[in-house]
Amino acid sequence: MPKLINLLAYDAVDKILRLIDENRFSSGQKLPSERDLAHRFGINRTTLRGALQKLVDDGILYRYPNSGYYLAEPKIKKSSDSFFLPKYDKLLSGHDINLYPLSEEVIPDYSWIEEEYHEYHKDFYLEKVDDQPISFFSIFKTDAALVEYPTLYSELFSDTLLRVQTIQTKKAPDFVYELLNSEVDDLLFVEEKVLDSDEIIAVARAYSLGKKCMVQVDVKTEKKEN
Amino acid sequence: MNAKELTIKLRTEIDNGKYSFGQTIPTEKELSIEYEINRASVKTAVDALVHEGYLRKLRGSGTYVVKNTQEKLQIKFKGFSELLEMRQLRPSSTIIASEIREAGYLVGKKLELNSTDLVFHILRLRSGNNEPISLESTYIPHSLIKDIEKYNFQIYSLYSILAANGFQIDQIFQTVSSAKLRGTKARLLQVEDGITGIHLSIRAKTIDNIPVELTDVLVVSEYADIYTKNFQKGAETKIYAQID
Repeated sequence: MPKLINLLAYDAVDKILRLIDENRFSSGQKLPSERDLAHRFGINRTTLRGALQKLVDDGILYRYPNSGYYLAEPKIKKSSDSFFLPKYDKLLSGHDINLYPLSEEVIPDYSWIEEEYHEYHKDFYLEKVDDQPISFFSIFKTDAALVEYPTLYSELFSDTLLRVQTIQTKKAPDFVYELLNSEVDDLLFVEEKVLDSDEIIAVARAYSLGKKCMVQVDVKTEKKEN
Repeated sequence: MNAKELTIKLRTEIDNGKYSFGQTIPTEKELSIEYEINRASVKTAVDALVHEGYLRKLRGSGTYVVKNTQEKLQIKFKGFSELLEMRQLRPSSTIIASEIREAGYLVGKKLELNSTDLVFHILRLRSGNNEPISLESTYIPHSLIKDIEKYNFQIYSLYSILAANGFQIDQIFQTVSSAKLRGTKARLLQVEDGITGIHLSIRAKTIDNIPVELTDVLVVSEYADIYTKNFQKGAETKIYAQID
């Protein structure tokens, strides 16, 4: 079988992660030098560098030029079903969570919002976990939603509402990067549409720092009918 | 013997296990010689069983038994192909590599194995209308299914193989994050080096809490919703693959 699989540097990444775990590295701790690691693992510098780069890309390590690689803080796990209600997220218990409402002045214009949502009631928030900016939320609601479901997106959802959620990556409007204190890059984009009997009553969107968080989606399966 | 009788004969032999899930049946030429009936009748008989969901043909490879006697264990899960077809995209899949290897540290941890335990690993490129959509890297503990590497993965979905071997999947854990696509992966997905895509790490466990599968997916952002779309109502979450 072709060694294409080895080109994907699984082995090198694996060795680095094992080293970190088995030696109980803590966040902020510096890794051994490239030369040390290459020697220890018996791999060449190029392969090692590829693996280290991947771990930087994934937010597991960070790099100070001329200094080396360090273990980053572990990524925050958010539940998909309470993505916009972090205070109710079981995976975030034990973390300090704050959702700061943003005034309209922080939003330069609405050009980044589609026509169809311009008439919706709009709320904007900055989500901070352990005092670090994680996401920028935009929540749009119809007037009817405000009346019939006044606790929408402030408390847990009622059983009658269906939420359809997708996750992808996207480039955000410029002001979002300033808010999140982040370099310009594609961000994790989570969009949720809330439906009441087939009608969209609300849309929630988040631009989240992919380097700092990930989303957990867990499902129970159903058997095929016999 | 006529076509109808051959259909019944073959169906019985499949039900009795003479030809079992995972195997091919004799070629149409071989069947026509064995039963002394003409090729056209053999084709009719075989096509009838394809229609009934007993068999599936793969050009250049053979006619495979897909009837699953353990069908009740199979979870209600649409395969990738079905999901693409629903979006009017023609699905295709290329096996980039497959191997039996040691699990290693990370995969071992996720599958609750020792790093030296063997796993079956298959790396597939999934495309729609011949445009690359995702890279799927699947790991299955080798001890679970004897000769798993012998199955033709162009025909059999992972979940049908697991069900046929008595494994009922009960829970699926998915972690979704962003990932940069570089080097070989970017080349295989035909995207610019360094572009951001979505990474899903999917683990499946049986009702007895045995991990049976780990799949790492890298999907280009435009098609990420195929994998990530989920539906939530009350306390229940369903992913796109579970919706009718």
